[in-house]
Amino acid sequence: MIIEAKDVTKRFGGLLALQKVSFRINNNEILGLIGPNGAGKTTLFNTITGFLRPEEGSILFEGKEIVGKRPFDLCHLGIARTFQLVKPFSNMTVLQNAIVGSLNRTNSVREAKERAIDQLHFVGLHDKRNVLANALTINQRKRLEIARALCTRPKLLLLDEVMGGLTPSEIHDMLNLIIKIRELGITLFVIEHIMSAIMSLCDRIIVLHHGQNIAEGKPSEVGVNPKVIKAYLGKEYVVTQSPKN
Amino acid sequence: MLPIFLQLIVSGFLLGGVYALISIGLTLIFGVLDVVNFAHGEFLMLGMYLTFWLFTIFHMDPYVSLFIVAPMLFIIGLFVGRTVIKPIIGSPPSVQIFVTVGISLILMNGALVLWKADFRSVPTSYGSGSLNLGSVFIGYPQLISFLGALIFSALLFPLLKYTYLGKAIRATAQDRKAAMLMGIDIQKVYILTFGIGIGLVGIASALLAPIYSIFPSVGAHFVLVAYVAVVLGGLGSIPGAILGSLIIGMTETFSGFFISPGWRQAIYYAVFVLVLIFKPQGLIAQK
Amino acid sequence: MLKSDKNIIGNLIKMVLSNIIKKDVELSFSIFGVLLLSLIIGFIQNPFYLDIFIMILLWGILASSWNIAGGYAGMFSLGHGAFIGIGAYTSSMLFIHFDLSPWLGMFLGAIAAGVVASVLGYICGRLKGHYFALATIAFGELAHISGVQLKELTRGSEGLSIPFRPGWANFMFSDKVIYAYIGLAFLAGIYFLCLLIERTKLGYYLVSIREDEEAAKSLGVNTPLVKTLAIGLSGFLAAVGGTFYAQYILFIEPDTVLSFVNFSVQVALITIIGGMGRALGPIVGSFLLTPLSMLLRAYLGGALSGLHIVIYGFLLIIVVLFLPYGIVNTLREYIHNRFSTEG
Repeated sequence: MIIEAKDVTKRFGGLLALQKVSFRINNNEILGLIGPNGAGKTTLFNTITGFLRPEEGSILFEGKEIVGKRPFDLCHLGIARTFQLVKPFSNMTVLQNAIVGSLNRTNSVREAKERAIDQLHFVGLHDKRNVLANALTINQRKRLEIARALCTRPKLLLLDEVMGGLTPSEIHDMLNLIIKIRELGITLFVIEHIMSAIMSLCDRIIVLHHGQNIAEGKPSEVGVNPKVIKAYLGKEYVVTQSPKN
Repeated sequence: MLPIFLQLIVSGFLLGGVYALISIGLTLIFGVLDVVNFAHGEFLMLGMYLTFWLFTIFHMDPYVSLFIVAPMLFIIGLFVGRTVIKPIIGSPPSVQIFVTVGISLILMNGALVLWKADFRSVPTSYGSGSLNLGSVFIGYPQLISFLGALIFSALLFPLLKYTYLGKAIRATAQDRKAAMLMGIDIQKVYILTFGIGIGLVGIASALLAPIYSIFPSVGAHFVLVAYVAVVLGGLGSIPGAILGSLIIGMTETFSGFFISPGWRQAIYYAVFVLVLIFKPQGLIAQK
Repeated sequence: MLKSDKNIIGNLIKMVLSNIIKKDVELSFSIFGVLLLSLIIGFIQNPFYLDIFIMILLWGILASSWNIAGGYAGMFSLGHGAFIGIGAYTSSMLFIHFDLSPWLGMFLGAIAAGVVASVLGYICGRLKGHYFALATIAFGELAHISGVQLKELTRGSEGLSIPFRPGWANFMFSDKVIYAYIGLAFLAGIYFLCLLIERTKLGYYLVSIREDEEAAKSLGVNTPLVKTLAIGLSGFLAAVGGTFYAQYILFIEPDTVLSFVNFSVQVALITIIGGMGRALGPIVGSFLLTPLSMLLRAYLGGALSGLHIVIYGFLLIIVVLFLPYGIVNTLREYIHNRFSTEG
């Protein structure tokens, strides 16, 4: 168990963005996070990565409390993330972007460069390494963001809608990439809207709705969970009998 | 002691009212265009000189020339907004800062070249008269200025609330992209808002001309005050700018009484830095 | 110059060219540039041109110090006059009152400025863009007011005259050429320091903060610490420039070293026009702007006081609108686009 979250609560003024959210992430699993828009998914990511501090609750990473820690400290501990709206270092090259990530673990630019090149190969951006980040396509930027995060040598990688804006074949490639990342031993926590992708990719899924954890389990279980169906489609679509498979 | 106290409060309040006109313009420009107008004080200086020349050459009373100066500054604001400000919206902060600093330098030194550094004044016949309320003295120019500021600020609220332009301005301030999608021509909104902001400064300049000496760098003091007021109230908030201005007005009269002139400015700067550090959203948390 | 000097330099150049140029073009061109400049100094006869050259070097130093925080890390400060002033006043006051060598005074002044800058950086580090600039302006003005008001220490608006007692220990020279060489040494020092920073972790981290602070944090960059370090270093070096100014001009006052327009704006402007975030930027900017502003002031400043600044203001606006990233960056991009192969 790499993450154990208990009763995580986050308020923005009067708005309760997260209400007593509890869950766990197991080592080396791919855990999915789904939910309608505004459910609090990115907010949850932000509390795990130190960008937001929950008012209540605790989050344990490898058994140690991480609430209150700053994002860069968490990166040192082994938590990395990507952003829903990609944040490349626009005026740096692809390689330089990746080097920044690698410098998390070394003080030597030379070493960082070697690691960066490896990660760029891994995501398939090596031939673009000297291109400025702001000249990349959206697919390339998403890959860069992942490569950069991988350079920090994370144990846990949080992906925030990496497939948004991609074509079906790009999504297919991205799925394979995520599976390859898991094969490296990294644990993945993935927010995604594209249902087919999430269902095929994840070992387990958590469903968030109005800041609450309304379902947790295998994709097949969650897919037929009446609460989940109600949240996404409205209660008219809830079927009282379980469908024939 | 009490009469002095009362006097300081009243004077400060009146002063704050006029500062509000300057501050509202500044906060409006920031709220809608997301540009910090470093040249704001120099437009005030320009308006004051215009008022001075109208008074000196045409013997026009400043409260009358107000109706010429304000529209003139509005048009100047439109022009500057169109040519220089519009291109820099969305540019990196360095570009924005430097363009408005450049405007500030041009205006200030242009005035220096054209009109020299001598102090000018607009001595109206009633300029030294005052109203006597018990032990409190209210100078006529100060009172008229305050009332003028009140009237024009009050006019601003229905403009923003009920007219299409006002709604367009508020929409753009809240969410640029959404405003565009709603069919609002935000380029026009930017230019008009800048014009209005400078027009407000024009009103303030005519109101302040009878009270203060006029010289090329007079804008620097007022803009400093306006900045502190705006930051106190929260950049982008009009009620905040008004509240901040009133607070600053009173701070000015009180510190003018207790602290030597040299250090007085330091107080503003210190307050300014403290607010920026501890509550950058301002006392009325906005943007 | 003596024939033997020319021989030595000739051999140095040959060595540099053969050893380094193949491995590191940037470094070798830089060394070549430094040597070229030192040669040029030797050939300047006219004291007027020598003065301009020294001022170019001085502003190069001051702008380079600004560049470290403002250019690389995006910490846009318009209050650097405060640090320059701390340097100038500290070394000068220590010299006048305690006869302390300005070299030592420079070091102490730089430390003082570095500490003050670090504190400022730490407190205001969370502020972004406009807000940070505003805070630095306020801070710069506070320094200005202090300089004017603390008359017993600084002689206020009257300014501080530094008694001319030439000698190496006193960091004052009758022969102005020596100032030029020292200035070149300082400038070269800062320049190579910037090159070093660019190639090491600090450089990458500074730029990452400028480009996207949140992303930088998520990648392990301790942004408050790096920002504090950046501006502390920037303030330290600005103060060094301040002392150099004081020792050359031998007169300082709040309206020069602590001034918004004359110093704080100027150092930012030079860097912006020359190229932010590149070691060469401030130097190019200074070579362009310093002679221009000096000549403008010389021909226009007297009769029509202020006209030179009006022209300056127009220049500022035009250049910033057309070259928002400065000359060096625009050139680099042009070369990159023309000559590099798309990967």
